[in-house]
Amino acid sequence: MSEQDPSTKPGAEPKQADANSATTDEKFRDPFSDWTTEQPAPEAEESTDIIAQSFRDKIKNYNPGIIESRDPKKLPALQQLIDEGLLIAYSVPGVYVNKRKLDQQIEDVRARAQKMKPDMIMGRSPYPGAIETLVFKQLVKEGLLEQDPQSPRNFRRVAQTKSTQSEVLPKPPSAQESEPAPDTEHPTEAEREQREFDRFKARIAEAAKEFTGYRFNITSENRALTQKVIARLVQEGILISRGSETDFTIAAAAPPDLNPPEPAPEATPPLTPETKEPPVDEQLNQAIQVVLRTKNSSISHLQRQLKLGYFTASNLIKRMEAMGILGASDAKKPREILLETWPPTGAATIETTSTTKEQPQTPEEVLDAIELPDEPEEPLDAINLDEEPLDAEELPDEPETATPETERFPETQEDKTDLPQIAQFKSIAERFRSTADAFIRKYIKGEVEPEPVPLNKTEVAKTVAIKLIGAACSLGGIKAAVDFPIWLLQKLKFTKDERNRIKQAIDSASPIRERATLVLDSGETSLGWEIVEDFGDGTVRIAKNMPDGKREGKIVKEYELEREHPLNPVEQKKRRLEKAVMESKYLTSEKKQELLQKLQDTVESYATTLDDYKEEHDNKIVRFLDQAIETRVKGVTALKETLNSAMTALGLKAARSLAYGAVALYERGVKVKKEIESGERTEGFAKELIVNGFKETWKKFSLQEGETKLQKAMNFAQSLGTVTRFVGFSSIALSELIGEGRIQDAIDQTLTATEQKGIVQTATDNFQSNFDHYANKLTFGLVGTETTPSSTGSETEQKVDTHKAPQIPPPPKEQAFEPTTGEETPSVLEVATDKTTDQQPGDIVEFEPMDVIEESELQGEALKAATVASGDGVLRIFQRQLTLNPEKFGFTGDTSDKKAVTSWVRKNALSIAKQSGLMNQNGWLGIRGKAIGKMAIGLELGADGKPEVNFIDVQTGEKTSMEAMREKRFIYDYSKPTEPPTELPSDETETQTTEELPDTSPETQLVDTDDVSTGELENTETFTGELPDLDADAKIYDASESSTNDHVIAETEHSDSGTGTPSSESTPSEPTEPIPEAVSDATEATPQPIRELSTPQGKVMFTYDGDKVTGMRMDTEPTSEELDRAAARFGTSETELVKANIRKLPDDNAYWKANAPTQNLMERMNRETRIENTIKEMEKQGLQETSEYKVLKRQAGVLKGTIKRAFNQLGLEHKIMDVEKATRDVTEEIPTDKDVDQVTVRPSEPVEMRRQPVKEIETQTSESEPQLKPIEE
Amino acid sequence: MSLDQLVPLLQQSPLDQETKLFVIDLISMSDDPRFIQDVMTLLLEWKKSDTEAVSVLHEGLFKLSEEFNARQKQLENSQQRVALSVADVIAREEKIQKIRDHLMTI
Repeated sequence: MSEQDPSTKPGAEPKQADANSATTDEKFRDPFSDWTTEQPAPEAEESTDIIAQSFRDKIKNYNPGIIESRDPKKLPALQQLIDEGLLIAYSVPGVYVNKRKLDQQIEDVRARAQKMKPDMIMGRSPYPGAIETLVFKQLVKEGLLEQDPQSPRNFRRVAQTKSTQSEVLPKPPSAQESEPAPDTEHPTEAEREQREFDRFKARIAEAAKEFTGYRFNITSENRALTQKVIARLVQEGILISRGSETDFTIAAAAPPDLNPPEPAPEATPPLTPETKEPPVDEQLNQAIQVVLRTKNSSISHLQRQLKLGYFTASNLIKRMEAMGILGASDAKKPREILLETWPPTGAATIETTSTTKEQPQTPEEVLDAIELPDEPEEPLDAINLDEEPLDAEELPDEPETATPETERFPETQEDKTDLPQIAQFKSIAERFRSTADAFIRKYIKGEVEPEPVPLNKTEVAKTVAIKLIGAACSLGGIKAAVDFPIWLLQKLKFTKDERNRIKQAIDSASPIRERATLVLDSGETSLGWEIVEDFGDGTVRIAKNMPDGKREGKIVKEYELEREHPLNPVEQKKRRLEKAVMESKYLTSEKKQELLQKLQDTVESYATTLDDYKEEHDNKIVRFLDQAIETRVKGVTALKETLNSAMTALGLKAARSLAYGAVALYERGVKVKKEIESGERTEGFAKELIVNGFKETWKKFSLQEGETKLQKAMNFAQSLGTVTRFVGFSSIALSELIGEGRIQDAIDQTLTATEQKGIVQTATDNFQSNFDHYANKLTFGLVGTETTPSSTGSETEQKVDTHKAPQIPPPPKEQAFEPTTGEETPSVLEVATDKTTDQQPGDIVEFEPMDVIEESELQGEALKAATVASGDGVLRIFQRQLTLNPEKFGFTGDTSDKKAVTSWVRKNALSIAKQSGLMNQNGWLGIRGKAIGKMAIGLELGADGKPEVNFIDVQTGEKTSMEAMREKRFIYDYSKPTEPPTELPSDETETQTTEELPDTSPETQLVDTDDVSTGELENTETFTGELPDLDADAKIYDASESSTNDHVIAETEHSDSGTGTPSSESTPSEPTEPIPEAVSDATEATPQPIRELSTPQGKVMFTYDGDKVTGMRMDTEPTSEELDRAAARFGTSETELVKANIRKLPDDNAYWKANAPTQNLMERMNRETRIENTIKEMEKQGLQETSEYKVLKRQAGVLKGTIKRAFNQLGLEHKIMDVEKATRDVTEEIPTDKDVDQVTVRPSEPVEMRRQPVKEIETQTSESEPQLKPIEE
Repeated sequence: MSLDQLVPLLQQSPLDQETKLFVIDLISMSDDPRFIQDVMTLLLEWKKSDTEAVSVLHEGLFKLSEEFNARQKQLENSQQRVALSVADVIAREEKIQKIRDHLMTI
C-alpha cells in the first residue's frame, strides 16, 4: 500500500531538516487539513480505516524502518498512525519513521555506546537514513555521544552521561531505563525504584496491547527491588494480583470485573470513552471487525487478514465465541456470525451520549437539568391544584412506584466472593436508577413545571387516576396479575441475537464443552500434537514429533480430534498404570492389589471432586444468569415506570390510551387472522375481530370463562386490560372509582410486599389471598357503574368503596367465586366496620376512613389487659378488659359478686365481638402468635357510650387499622367450612346459633373423633376457667346461659390454633392456671399455629392442611457443605458412603451406580439434621407442646430409623452407635416400619389419636432391640 | 441526538411494544426540546446499562469457565502426583528385585 519513492535520497541532511522542521511540519499538515474538509466524512472514515489498517499490518509484520508515501489519500491514515504512536513524521515530507524500529535501534546503539570507553569514536554511515539520523540525534540528546568536531560524520563517547531529556524525540521509558549506564551517577534507592517502576510500567502498557497477563522474571539479584516495584504497580492498579509472586493480570487488559473498584460518585456519571475500559484488546477488536466486515469466521481467513499465527487466530475466534459474537464450531459449516455490528451498542452509545450532552442550550441549563433538587422530599406540584388540592401524600411517592424493583437490589445479593461480577450488576442497576431518579425528580417532582392548566376537580381526579392507574390496579394483585406475564415475557425476552449469544456463552462456559475444547487448545500440545494448518472448513492438519525423530502428520476434523483423544487424562493414566501394575513381574499380588486400590481411590476421588466442581460451577452460572436477568428486568421496569410517570405527569394520557388500544387491536388482529387461517374461526375477519372480540372479552370479564380459579383470574385480568385499553375505560372509570380513597396505603403495602417478597411471590400471594374477593367486588362495582360515567357525589362514594374492596381482607376460601347475589353473607370485616348490622347482605359497605392516627387512651393495666397474650382469642381479650373494669362498660351489679361479673363478662364479650363484626356464625377473627405483646384490641367507650373496638400498636401506642394488623400478619380470618346461615344472628338468637356451632366447628369434630362428644359442656368449661377470677365459679353459673358464651369462647380459642387439643387433659374439676403473660403456646390447650420460625440455618415454614400440620420446608437449599456437615453428624462422609455403596455393588460401574443412593442418603441425613435443628430451636423458644413440634419430632424419628437401616445395609454397623445416640432422644417417637420410607411429614393428628401408634412403636422398638445389641457391644 | 439514533435503538432493543409506544408518544407529543433530549438520554442510559449487563454476563461466564478449568487442572495435577507415586513403587520394587536377584547370583 505504501509507495516507495525511488527519487527520495537517503541523504537528506538532518541539519537542514532541523532548520526547516517547523516549516516542513506545516507543509505536511496543510494538505491533510484541507483534504479532510473537502471530503465527505463517512466515506473518508471508511477508506482511512482500511488504509490505516493495512499500514498497521505492514508495520506489525515487516517492522520496516520507514514508510514513505506522498499520496494525499493516505495522509489521514498515516496521521492516524502517528496519533497512535506507531509512526513518527520525519522532517522530510512523505517519510515516516517506524517508532518500534527506531526504539530498537536506539536500544542497540545505546547499548553499544555504553560499552565504549570515553572518547571512543562511533562511526556513522556516509549516507545515514532517517532511522540512523534520529538514533544518533537521540543519543546526543541523552548526552551519551557527541559529534566529533573533527569528523562530523562520527560520534564520540562522552565521559559522563548528562542525562538530558530529549525534546524532539522522546525516549521510550523501556529503552531509557532498561540498563543504567555504568558511568551515571550512583542513583539512590528511590531513584532506582522509580526507574524500574517506569520501565515496567511502559513494558506493561506495551504488553497490554496483546496480552492480559504479565510475568516477572525475578532473580535473586533483583528480587528486593522488583518486589517493591510490583507492589507499587499493584497498588496503583496497573497490575492485578493472581495470587502468584510472578504472574499478574494487566488491569488495562483485564475484564472489567477484575479491575479494582473505583470509588463511584453517588450519582454515577455515564461512561465516557475515557473512563470506560475497553472490554477487549485492540487485536481482538480488529479481528471482530474483520469477521463482521467480511462475514467470514474461519480461522485461516483471520490468519490471512491479520497476518496472525494459527493459535492466535484460533484464540481470537474462541474469544469471539465466548463473547457471543460467533456461534459454536461446526465441522460441516463455518461458525455462525451472530452480530451485525461491533461494538453492538456500547461504543456508539457512549459516543452519542456524550454528543447528546454537548448540545445543551447553555451549560447552566444542562447543569440545572442534571442536578438533583436540594430537597428530594419536595412534593409534586406539577399539576396546579387550585380548586381543591388532592391528597398530597400520593404524589411524592411516585418515584418509589417508578423504581420499586431497583430498591431491593441489595437484598438479592448473594455470595459476593464467588461472583464478583454481581457487584457489577449492582452498579449497573444503580447507575441507571440514578439517571431515572434524576429524570423523575425533574419531570415528576416539578423542577420543570409544565404550563399551569386550570383544572376542575374531576379533571384533577382523572389525571391522578391515570397517573396511579398502575398502582391502583395493584390493589388485590390485579396489576401484578397483569404485569406478571409481561414480567415473564420481559424476563425471557432477549433479542434473537442476544439469546444466541447468551446460549453460546453458556455453552462455552459449560465444563464438558470447555473440556472438549481444551483438547484443541492445549491437549494436543501435551500429547505432542500441534495444529500446523487450518483449511478453514473445520479440517486441520496436525503433526507430532515421534520418538524415532520422524514427524508424523495427518489431517483430521476438529471433532475427530476431540473424539480421538479421551477427555479424561486421569482415566487414561489410570489405565496405563493399571496395565503396568498388572504386568509387573516384581510386585507381589498383595502389592498389586494395594496399588490398584490406590489407583481406584484416586480416580474416584478425582471424579467426585470434579463433579463437585462441576456442580458448583453450574450453580454459579445459574445464579449469575439469574442476577443478569434480574438486573435487566429491573432496568426495564424502572424505565417503563419512569416513562409511564412522565407521560401521565405531562398529561399525555390520551396518547397512552390510544397506544394501548392500538397495541391491543393489533395483537388481536394478528391472533384472529392466524386463527381464521387455521380454521379455528369461521366468520369474517371484521366480525371475529370486533363483535366476537367484545363477546369473548365480556365472557372473561364476567368470570364465565375458565375452569379453575387461576384461569378465571387470568382471564379476568386479561379482559380488564383489554377493556381498559380498548375503551379507554381506565382514564374515566378509575378516576371516579378511586376518588379520594386510600390508595396510598395500598400502594405502600404493595410496594413493601414487592420489596420483601419479590414480584412473583407478591403476585402469587395477592392472587391467592385477595383475588376472589376482589373479583367479586370489582365485578360488581364495575357492572354497577358501567352505565354511569358521570358521577354524582353519592355514586362516587359507592364506587370508591367498591374499589376499596381489595383492601378488604379476603373472605374464606370456601366462599370464593360464589355468585354475588343478594343472599350473600357479608364477610366478617364488612360486619366489623358496619355499625348497623341489619344492613342488607350484598350491599356495598362503607368504611370509615382510617387516615387519622390517634393515640390510644389505654394505658397501664388496661392496655396490658387489651394486649394479646399467649393463647388469646378475641373473646378472652375482651373478657380481660371487661373483668378489669366492669362498671365502666355498664355492669350495674355488685362487683364483688364474681359469679355475676363472670356471667356478665362472658355475655358482653361475645356481644361486643359480634357487634363489632369480629365474629359471626361464618367465622371469626384469628390472632397469630406473632401478635403477642405487639398488638392490643382495646375496648374504649365511644361517644354513644357503647364500647368501641380499637386495634392498637402496642409499641407506638397508636390506634391502627385492622388492615394494618392484617398486613403485619397479626390477624387472619377464620371461616367455617360449612354453608353459613343466611341471617346474622342477633343476641336473641344466640342460643340457637351457638347450638349449631359445635356441629360445624373444627373443635367439635375433634371431640367427636375422640369419642368424647358427651363431654361437650365439660370441655367448654375447661376454657371458661381460664380467667382466674372466674375459676371458682366456673361450675356454679347458669349453664343454660353461659354454655352458649362458653362454647363460642372455646370455639374461638380453637380457631386460633392449628391443631386439636387433648381434651382429656382438662377436666371441669381441674383448677386452671392464671393466664401467663409470656408463656408459650405449649401451655395452652390450643396454641397458635406457628407457620414460620426463624432458625439459625434459615427460615422454616410449616405447611398446613386446614389446621393440621402437614410438613415443613426451609427457604434455603442445602449446600454441599451443609450436606457434609449433616453426614459428619452421623459420623460418616460422602466418600465413605460412596465406598460403602461401591462395596455393596460389585460391578464395573459400581461407582456411578453408587452415586444416586449416596445422594439420597445424604439428603435424608441433611433433612433429619435440619429437623433436629428446628426442634432445638423450638425447644429454645418453649414450643415443645405445639403440634408442629410433635410432628417434627416424629418425623425426625422416622428419618433416623431410615438412616439406621441404610447404614446397616451398607455395612456401616460401626456407625450405628452414632445413629442410636442420635435416635435415643426420640425413642418414644420411633415410627412403624410403614412410616419409615415416608418422606413428607404427615398431617398431625390429635394427640389422643397419636398415642396408640406411639405405643405400638414403642413395642416395636423394644422388639428390635436385640438386633441392635450386638452392634452396641 | 437525532431520531436517526432513536430508531435503531427502538428497533434493536428488547423492549416491549408498550414501552416503545410510550417513548414515541412522549417524544412526538411534547414540544419541549429539553424534555425530548432528556427522554432520549434516559433511553440511552438504559440501553447502555442493559448492554453493559449483557457484557458483564458474557465476561462473567467466560471467567467462570476459566476458573473451572484452572481448578480442574489443579485437580489433575494433584492426581498426577499420586499416579507418579504408583509408578515409583513399581520401579522401586523392580529395583529391589533386581538387587535381590543379583545378591542371589553372588
